[in-house]
Amino acid sequence: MKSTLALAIAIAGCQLPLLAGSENYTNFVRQYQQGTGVSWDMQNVAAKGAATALAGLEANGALFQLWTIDKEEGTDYLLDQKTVGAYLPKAEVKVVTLDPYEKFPRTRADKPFTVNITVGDLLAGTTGLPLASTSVLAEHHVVLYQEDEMSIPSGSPTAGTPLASGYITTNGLTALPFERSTIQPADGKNPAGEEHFVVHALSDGSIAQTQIAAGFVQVWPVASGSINGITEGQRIAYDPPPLTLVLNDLYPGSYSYLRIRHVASGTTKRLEQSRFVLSQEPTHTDKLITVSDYNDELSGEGTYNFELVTETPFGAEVLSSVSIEVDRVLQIRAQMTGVE
Amino acid sequence: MKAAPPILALTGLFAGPLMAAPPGVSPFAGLAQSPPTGDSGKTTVRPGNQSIIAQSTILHDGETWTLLPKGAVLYTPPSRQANVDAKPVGKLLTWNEFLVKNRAWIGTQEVDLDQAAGKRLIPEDRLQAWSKQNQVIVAVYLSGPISLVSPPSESITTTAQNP
Repeated sequence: MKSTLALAIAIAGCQLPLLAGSENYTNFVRQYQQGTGVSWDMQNVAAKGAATALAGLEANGALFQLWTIDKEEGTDYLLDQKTVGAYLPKAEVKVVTLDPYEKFPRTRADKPFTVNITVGDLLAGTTGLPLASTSVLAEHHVVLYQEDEMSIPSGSPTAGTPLASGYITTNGLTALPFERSTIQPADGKNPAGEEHFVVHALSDGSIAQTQIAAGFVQVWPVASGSINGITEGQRIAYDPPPLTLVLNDLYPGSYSYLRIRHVASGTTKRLEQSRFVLSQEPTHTDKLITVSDYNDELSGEGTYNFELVTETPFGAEVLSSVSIEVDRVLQIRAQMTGVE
Repeated sequence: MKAAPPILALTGLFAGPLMAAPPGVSPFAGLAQSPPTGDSGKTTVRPGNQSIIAQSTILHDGETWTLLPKGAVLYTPPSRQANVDAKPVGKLLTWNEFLVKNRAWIGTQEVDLDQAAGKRLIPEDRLQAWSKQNQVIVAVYLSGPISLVSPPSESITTTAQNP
């Protein structure tokens, strides 16, 4: 029985999906026959497409691994793997988040997401069935990024003991909703990382690896910020002082700026020199912005609200706010006296 | 020993597309936690930290290299020992690219799946022919390098060195 293996550059880390389609990388699909131990390299592996696997899937199945290798550095990355067999069930893992980013699922630590696990070809109702055909094991792994890193070595996220697991014994969709990421701030640190979800076939010992499906979501921390240079209730009589805007842990693709609102008139302006858009694939997520000349935005008297705003796929949020009083009216106290 | 609860009964409690868990509880808690009958709970084999390069035989021509499944090299003439099992230094080429570039010293032997699995041997006359050539012979199936469970390379090399 020939099988068609649909290749997809799957999710395995922050930058890996971007690498596999690059001219700097070469993709390999290696098929390991679990029964005989024969391994075979599929040729002409494109970044995306379908190809025919080694003919004749054996009862013990075959393990398919999709690798990409840096042509110059010789560093290899395991992008995806599946175990397929005559008695093995099929599964698919899809993580759905509020971020419409298309390359791989990502979210923010405080936002919900859903893990959809679809299982097929499980058999039920009769005895004497192979163990692998009766249920699958779903696992949840969590890995934190090291400081200043936004990726992890391939294979390592799912190599250890899972955070949680459970068995699925019926075909169809099992949706697992998460109110927020399991990765949360701790000890004053605001970490980022990945949550991986793996489905394993149950082996009777005859197959080398049991993973039949996997998915993951990249988790980013919640942003924070501050407006420095002015204090709450400060009175401005002359030119306003320069400001330093500090932004931390910005979300990829976010648009941040300083918004100034004149309370009395309701007039709101975005300060042009404060605007900052973060890359969709950033290497750094902190930003320092200096604002020196914004006197023109404070033309009227009264209270002004300064708000440091960041816009993300999850909405617009105020990271910090300060209100000041602009009072430039010259008050003269004088006393008329007569001169004789 | 108390019997584990029937899996069907447990899954019936949690049937349905959405399995919302109370706040602070993993949604995985809603899945069946007891392994099915016959599963010792130790049948999961995780991928671990792997390297396809470490699992392969490297061919190198002095400036470029490629990789093959271990067991795909059927014969290595003494003069080409340095080109086989080399270090992956330089630029990586696909197997097809490397083969085209190094046709002078690489040859291929089409094998079938039974030969790859060791159920049937490669004809003796092929083995003898290789020992008279100065080429590295690689087993292929549908143009892709394939490993042999029992590659004949060691016996041929010995024969070539001790005619």
